[in-house]
Amino acid sequence: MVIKKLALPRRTFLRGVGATLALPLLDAMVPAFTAVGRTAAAPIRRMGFIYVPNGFIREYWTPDKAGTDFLLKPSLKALEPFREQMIVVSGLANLQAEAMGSPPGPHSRSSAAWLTGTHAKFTEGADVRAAMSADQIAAKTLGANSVLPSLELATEQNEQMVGNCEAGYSCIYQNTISWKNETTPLPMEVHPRVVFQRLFGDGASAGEQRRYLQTTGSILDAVTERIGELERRLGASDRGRLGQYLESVRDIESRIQRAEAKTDDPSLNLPPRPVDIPPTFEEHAKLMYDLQVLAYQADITRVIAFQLCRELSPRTYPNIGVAGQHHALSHHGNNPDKIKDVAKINAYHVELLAYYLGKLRATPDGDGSLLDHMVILYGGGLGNPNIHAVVDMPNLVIGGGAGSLKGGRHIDYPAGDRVRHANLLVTLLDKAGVPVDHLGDSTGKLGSVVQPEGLSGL
Amino acid sequence: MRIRRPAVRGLLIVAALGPLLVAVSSRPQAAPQASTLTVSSATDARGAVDKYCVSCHSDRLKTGGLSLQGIDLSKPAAHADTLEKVVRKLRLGSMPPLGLPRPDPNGYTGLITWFESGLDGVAASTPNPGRTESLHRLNRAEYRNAIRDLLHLEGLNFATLLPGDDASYGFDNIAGALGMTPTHLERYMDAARSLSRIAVGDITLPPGGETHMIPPDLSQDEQFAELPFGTRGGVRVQRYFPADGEYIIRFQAFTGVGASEAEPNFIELSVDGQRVFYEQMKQTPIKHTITGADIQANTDWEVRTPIRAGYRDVAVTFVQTTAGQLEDYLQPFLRPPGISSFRLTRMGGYSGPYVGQVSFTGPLSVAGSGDTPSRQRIFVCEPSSTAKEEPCARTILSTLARRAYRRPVTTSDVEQLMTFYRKGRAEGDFTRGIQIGLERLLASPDFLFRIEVDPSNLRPGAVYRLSDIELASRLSFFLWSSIPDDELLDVASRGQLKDPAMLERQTRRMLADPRADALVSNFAGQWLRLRNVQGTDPNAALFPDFDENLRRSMRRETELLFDSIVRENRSVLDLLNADYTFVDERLARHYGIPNVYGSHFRRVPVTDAHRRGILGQASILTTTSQSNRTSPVTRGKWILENLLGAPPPAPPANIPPLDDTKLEGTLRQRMEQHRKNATCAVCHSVMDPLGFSLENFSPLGQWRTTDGGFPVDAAGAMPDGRKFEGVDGLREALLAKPDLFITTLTEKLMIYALGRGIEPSDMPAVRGITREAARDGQRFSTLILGLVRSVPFQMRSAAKDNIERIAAKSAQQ
Repeated sequence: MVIKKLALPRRTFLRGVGATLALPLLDAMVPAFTAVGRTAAAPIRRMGFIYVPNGFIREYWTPDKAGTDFLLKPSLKALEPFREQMIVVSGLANLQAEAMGSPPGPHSRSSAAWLTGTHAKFTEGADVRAAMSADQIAAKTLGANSVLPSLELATEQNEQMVGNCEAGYSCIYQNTISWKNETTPLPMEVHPRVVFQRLFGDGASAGEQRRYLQTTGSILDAVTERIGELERRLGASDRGRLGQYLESVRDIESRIQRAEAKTDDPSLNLPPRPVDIPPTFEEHAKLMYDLQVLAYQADITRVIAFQLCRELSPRTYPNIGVAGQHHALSHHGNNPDKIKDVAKINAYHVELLAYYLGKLRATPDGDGSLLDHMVILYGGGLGNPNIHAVVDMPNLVIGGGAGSLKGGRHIDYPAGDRVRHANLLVTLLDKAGVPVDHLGDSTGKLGSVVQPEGLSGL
Repeated sequence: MRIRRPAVRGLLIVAALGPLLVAVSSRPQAAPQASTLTVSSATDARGAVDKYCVSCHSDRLKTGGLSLQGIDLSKPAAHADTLEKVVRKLRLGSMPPLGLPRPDPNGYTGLITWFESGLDGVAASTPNPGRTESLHRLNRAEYRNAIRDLLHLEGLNFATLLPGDDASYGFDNIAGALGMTPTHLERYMDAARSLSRIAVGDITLPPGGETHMIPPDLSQDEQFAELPFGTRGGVRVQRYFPADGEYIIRFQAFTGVGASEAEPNFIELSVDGQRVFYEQMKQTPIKHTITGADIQANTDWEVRTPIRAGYRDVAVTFVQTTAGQLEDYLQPFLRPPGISSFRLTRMGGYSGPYVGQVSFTGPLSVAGSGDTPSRQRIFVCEPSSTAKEEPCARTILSTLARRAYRRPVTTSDVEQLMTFYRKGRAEGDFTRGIQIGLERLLASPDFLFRIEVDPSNLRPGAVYRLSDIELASRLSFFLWSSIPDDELLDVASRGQLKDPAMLERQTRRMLADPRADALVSNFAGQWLRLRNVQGTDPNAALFPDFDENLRRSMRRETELLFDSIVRENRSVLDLLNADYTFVDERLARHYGIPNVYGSHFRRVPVTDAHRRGILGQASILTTTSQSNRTSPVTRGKWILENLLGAPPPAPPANIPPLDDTKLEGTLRQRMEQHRKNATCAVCHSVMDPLGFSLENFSPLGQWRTTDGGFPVDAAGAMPDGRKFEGVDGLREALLAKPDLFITTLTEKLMIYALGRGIEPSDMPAVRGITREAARDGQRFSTLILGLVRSVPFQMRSAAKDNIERIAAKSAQQ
């Protein structure tokens, strides 16, 4: 949706983006946006969820020792500078991703359960089902006054993944990690230009923007009316889709109200509008991270779910010397070469994360940096990918959580305890100021994360 | 020479595709045959089932979750779902498991026929058309085509207008998977605004920018088919210019490695074939460096030029100064091994001049809306006075609404649009009024959704015939992925589409229309997974000569083959066995086909029998490979899913981990060791032999006789145990039982046509279609016509909880 107003001259460039060459002239002149009421007394809380697929190699990732006195292994090496704002959480169980009597579909289920703590329904039909995901729960509170309550981003396009879904499971289970409610999975945007446009508009004047919003508002009124008519003519079984539609209309209407109420912050310099999808994965991923920093910085959204890659991703990584495809390699059969390759991919993904964290740290926010006030969960729904293990998955909690998180720790839950991954979600939501009783199969909060000093859970 | 296969292979063949392993007799291939079986009654069938099936599929064992013990075979209606499963296994020939007793071949066929006629009889007397959801959102491809046909707008980037779609059942046009979220709605509202403004030629549209990136591994050494002769490399961008005015075109052009002033290159920019810029390339300081940073400054070119509104061809290309190979590289498309960064690729591996990206800014100093096809399409009248504006707006908007909503419009439809017209008219001029009316129209659920409403007063679950109007949309979205045209809508509005002769006439007309290309890009693109070619990235160290050009050519070949089947109304079996194919020079060299020069595709006879049909095509062979090796498992799975209609289930969760370190030998030997694991063997014993038969094709689909120093062993077997050698054997085995392939294709077409998964209750219709096709040489149009005439396409089951029942309920309360 088009939101913003004032045009600015180009001053900075998105880093890591070769794509700024030959930029269309006017793209450099983009609108500015809103002042953020940042004060030291009330830091803005923000959350980020970043998904990496196809499990991990524990031996290259998980520190040998729990507590504060541990060495970072190769996969996490790039996070050394962020060690004091990071908690490595090991040994949790994504139990709802287990078969539980459903036909095989470990990748679909682990992806769907990661933020929902719920068992994905075995179906390819209209009856896909999981649960409201942690990011959307966060968005309800943290995003209540944001123009965009949340962003859902990814790098892999659906249309190049034909036939790459698990038999009998809708592709949506692996195409998204974000669920607005139990029946509404949210699409994830891969195009940097679209993300930029959603954040900062299309360069129209303030007057025009206002007119856009008004017209859109009255069209939505008319659409609501039409949906009502259809509802009377359609049976109950069709009402699910109509309800979803109507809810979307209301959602957009309230976004428009918030957009209209928003004022400009001429102090912020925007980079040029991104162009196409960059040709390399690295550039694409970095650009998507850049946009996330911008979105937080401009306070257009406070919650972002980012799927760096999706489950079953067949991506190759020739730039780091990995010859095979990620998913195929992840079924490594204990072959040391394949194991090393998967670990290299894990480490590479973490390097990209470090790039992002560096930018968050470099961006002032209130009395600190964006990173100081964020709660980021980085991880995936599978542990040992060779056997589709849904226990002991990679999990990193990063950020200061506005003083609520104490980093520099490794918390290792004994696998036998089967401590629910959803407990971590509940805990993190709590840290970010979004208290929830439970989420999916959660049984409570994780003591040791909640009470930084008492490492009792170790 | 061939590697001897261990004897264990024969012992472990288990044809069951179900999740459970069946303990199999250790007797090898020669299955004991019983005396002749004749099936003409339920008693006969029961006897056969008891004799051949029930030892495993009993109430007690329930092998594969199936018991056939207590089923009353004289009542197929009561057990249709189970019996359809049985028929599927029997047709595939995978049951009873190889090595266990089977009826004689005639008896086996007789049993299938008896089951099928029972099931078909039930379907004939009590049709069950199934039910696609009432609200079926247009997917991105359909929306794009609808805009093209409604507003004559082309050349816009829909990837930045709308979110991508999720697939179910292998296709991205499934009603149940096309949800409506705030993200979608937000984008639909934005799209409605920008498209309506572009279409009416809104001269207040703020200047926009758009960049086209050229894939980094596109070799630009030769002339491209879409660019003029006498040029080399470069790019053609087909793009919509929203108004008459000036545009700034920027492009990145590099002179190439080793270029010198003595042998200069010349660059040309043209719009619709007219040269607007021509210049000698300047020497740029290109070095074999890793950073690439120092070369960026001198590569940007900028041209400001007037361009008329509409869909235009912009070409940025080089003049071909020599037809000779570049002297420094004999294979100019070679990539340096192990490196993917495009700058490195270009500097290290690509030596000629090339264009990096092209961007457009504009319109600047707008001269007017221009006389575009869109404006002609929209403004069917022009008000000569203020008084005539309202009637004219009414004409314009009701004409558009009829096409966009794909039905006759109501007064209320038009009034709603007129309300918005008046709003816009009050703000600005007549054009603004139409634009706002159009914006409203494009945001309407009646445009965004295909809506099928049950007629009132039907009992829940009742079967009814779709209206002609609904049928018209089904037809046009099936064949064109777009809205009906005026002729189809006229016929349907007059109630004539239900007439079989008219339906056939319209179907044939639509198949012959260029819009039927959608069947190639959307149906074949997904059925055969051609869309995945774009994402393939073979290992550069092993395949340094793989480039974007080859990727495009691979996909194009298969698309053109499918297209020829459609256009020439050929037998669909030609997909497997065509004695012709389509190549350009790049692909011909890849295959080793001599005497093909130039970048245009042409039809050539297939002289090398291995290459006949899709099984010999690089698109399929590459997308089913890993980046560094072939994957017989993936290839086998692809064949099972897409050609034989027998998708194997995903590996079970409790699968014991495969220990690579304990396997040795060739890939085939390792896979055979893998299959010693009984759980794995259930599926892999079926997948692997199919896939291994294609081992003569490298990961990029090039012919080979050795792999890793070992001679290729391309022995294969069908799920029914028929053994064969190599791709030729596989093709013959498939053609020997064409019904499996035809049935699979029909099923896929039906999923795509209906926008829903198919159910056992659809199988009688599938069989009806294939039988009809068999009588007409399996022609493509016969399959399509059969489908269009079928019960699931023409009819629909009312909701189980339809509205009257709800009304009645609430009346009771």
